[in-house]
Amino acid sequence: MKVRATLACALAALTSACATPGAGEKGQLVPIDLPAPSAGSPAPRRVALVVGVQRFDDARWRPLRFAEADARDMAEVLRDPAHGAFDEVRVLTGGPTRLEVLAAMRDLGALSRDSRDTVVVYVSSHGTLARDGTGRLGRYLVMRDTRLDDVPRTGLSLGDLESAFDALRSRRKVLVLAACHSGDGKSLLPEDVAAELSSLKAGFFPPPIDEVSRARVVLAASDFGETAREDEKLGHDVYTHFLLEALRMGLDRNGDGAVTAAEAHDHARRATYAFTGGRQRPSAESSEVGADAVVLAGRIERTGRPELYSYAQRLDGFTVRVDGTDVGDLPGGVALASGPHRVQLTKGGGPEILDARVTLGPGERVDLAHLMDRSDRWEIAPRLAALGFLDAKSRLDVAGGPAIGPALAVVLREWPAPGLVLRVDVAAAAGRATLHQGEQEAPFDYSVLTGGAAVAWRWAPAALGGTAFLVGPRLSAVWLERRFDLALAPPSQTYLTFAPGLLAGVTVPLGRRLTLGAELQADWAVVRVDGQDRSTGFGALLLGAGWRL
Amino acid sequence: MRTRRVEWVATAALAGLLASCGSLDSPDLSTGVVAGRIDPAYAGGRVYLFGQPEVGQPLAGDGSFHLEVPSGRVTIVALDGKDRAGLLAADVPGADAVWVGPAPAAAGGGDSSFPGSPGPPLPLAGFIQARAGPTTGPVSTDARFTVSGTDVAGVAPSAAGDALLGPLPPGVFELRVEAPGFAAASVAVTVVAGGTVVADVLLAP
Repeated sequence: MKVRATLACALAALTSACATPGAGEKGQLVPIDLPAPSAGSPAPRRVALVVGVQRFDDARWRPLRFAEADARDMAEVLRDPAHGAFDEVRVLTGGPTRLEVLAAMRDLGALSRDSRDTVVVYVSSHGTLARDGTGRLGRYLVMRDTRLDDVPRTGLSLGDLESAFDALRSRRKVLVLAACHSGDGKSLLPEDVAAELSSLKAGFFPPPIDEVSRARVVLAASDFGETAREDEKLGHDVYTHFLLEALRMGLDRNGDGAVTAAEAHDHARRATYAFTGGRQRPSAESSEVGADAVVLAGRIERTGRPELYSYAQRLDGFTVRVDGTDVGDLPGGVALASGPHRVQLTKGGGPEILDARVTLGPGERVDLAHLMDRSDRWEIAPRLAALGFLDAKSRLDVAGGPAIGPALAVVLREWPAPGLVLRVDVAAAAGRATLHQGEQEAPFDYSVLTGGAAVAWRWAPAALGGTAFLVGPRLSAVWLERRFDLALAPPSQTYLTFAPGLLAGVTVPLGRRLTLGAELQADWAVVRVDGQDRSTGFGALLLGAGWRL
Repeated sequence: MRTRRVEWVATAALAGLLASCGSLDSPDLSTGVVAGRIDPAYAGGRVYLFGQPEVGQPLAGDGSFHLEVPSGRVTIVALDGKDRAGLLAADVPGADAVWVGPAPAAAGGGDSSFPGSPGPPLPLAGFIQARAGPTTGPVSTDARFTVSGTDVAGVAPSAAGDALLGPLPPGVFELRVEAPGFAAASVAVTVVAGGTVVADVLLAP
């Protein structure tokens, strides 16, 4: 078995904030959720489990140099009354096994029974990848008893660890995984997995460490596919060093007196990036990160300055510009003075993807991703539409086609719920067709007017740079008119019906506000023709530009 | 809330089936209208479809007519009510009207009244002096004469055995004769304007 030599692989730090805003606050300005003592109940506790594994029974795992030091120093800072002031910190060093770590997680659950408790779990070790019994490639942490040739059964599955973490009652919890899974640095891959990955043309990017719950945040020492590192001079893995530094130095960005998980991570992320020359980019994942009030050091003594932040993957690398001055890069957060501000997001020389005016009060925390969603909620989209029946018979005797005409769509994003859009559209077209009866033919003119409303799911993969997909149900009204220029026929016939259907579309941003979009609509309609109800399909293809308001 | 939303969508979809209004009824393209005006016209003037004489109508007071006929190529027999008759050919569009004769003043489809100019005067009508009988023997007085396609049908001869058939528009017609004890017979007869053509038809047992 080839053991890949490696640089030290740094680890991921994760902190998860659990202050869960009320349902009505989701996506809005997020107030800090200060732990409120409740009469008659014990005060919330601050507990931690810190694990460092640097020697392994299977000699094929290269020993790490600083994993135990990482754990010891993390525990020290958390215990220190001048910093973390945690009530209880349990440390597992000296080579804990997989079962010992899982047992410690269960014990942690016994220690923390209050949802207001603050819980930190920190694990520093090798990471690896292996296929489980179903063939799915999963990520594992290497424990002392983990065997390279049987990782699925002897390694600590991230899934198992996260399940145990999620089972903790606390709503303020942080999971820090100090390991990477790139096959380099602080990780080692089984040969078959390494061979499989090396055969890929593109780099291997395993999926994010699962979807995070609202109650936690994942702060990783390195981005996916990157190598985390230990450093001889620092005596720690790089990320952990700077995370500890933030706690020890009390890097309180917003001046409220406490160092939160987000503040500590932001410092560690930026410092790690600079220290490694950009080779290691710690990341964070959470829908709630930044909104957390998970205090890792100090205590909240006053209302802090307002902050802007984002850890959304789609905003990685963007620069935050406030009142014309660049104040920071994303992911991360910046603290501002209270009052009105002009907030812009840019990347390189590209156009601003956000240009909004906000007024921030003390203590307010605004997620820039939510601000983007909120500021660009409306879109007016003129379209060119091709309308027509989906069956040939109706195209012959009701309306030919497809007929080309103008259309207009109005889109309201994030309504009626996050991730959804309301889309109202209208389209019109006219044309000329020929009615056939035996050998007789009669030309006629027709008009089609359709209007509909759809509530669609909007999906914007981060990798596609703002391109969004829509799909959802749509209810429309279809108005048809036929006009015969015949002496024995009524000059005009009209028909109105309602048609349920589906909408699918894609929107591609062309700049700050301009978009290019296409939608396909398919409706089911019953049309009464010559005294008989006809079940048919009515479709529309729309293409055009859009303007976000 | 979610349940109510689903119910709303389901109800709206159902309403879509029921809440339609209007209808799209295709015109019947199997028939059309032939319109025109006969001038001069007199009482008793009429038009009918050649081949289907039961499809006809008297001329209006101003000599106009508006006759619904099968669509396609048709021939109209027009009688002025006095001494003139003619055949008017027309291509009748389905569910539409066609004016025969000079273009109407307000030409164009969609106006079924066709207030147009009269056509050229009809030619003088012609007649057929018809008799029928065996090669040897007297003419039949029981024979019945029919000019195919016209309203001249089943005409009985006089006591002398002659039958004056008309008025007929100039043209070639098939004269058919049926008489008891004889096989039916027919001959082609050319009717000339203002004249009477004698047609003797031999009857065979």
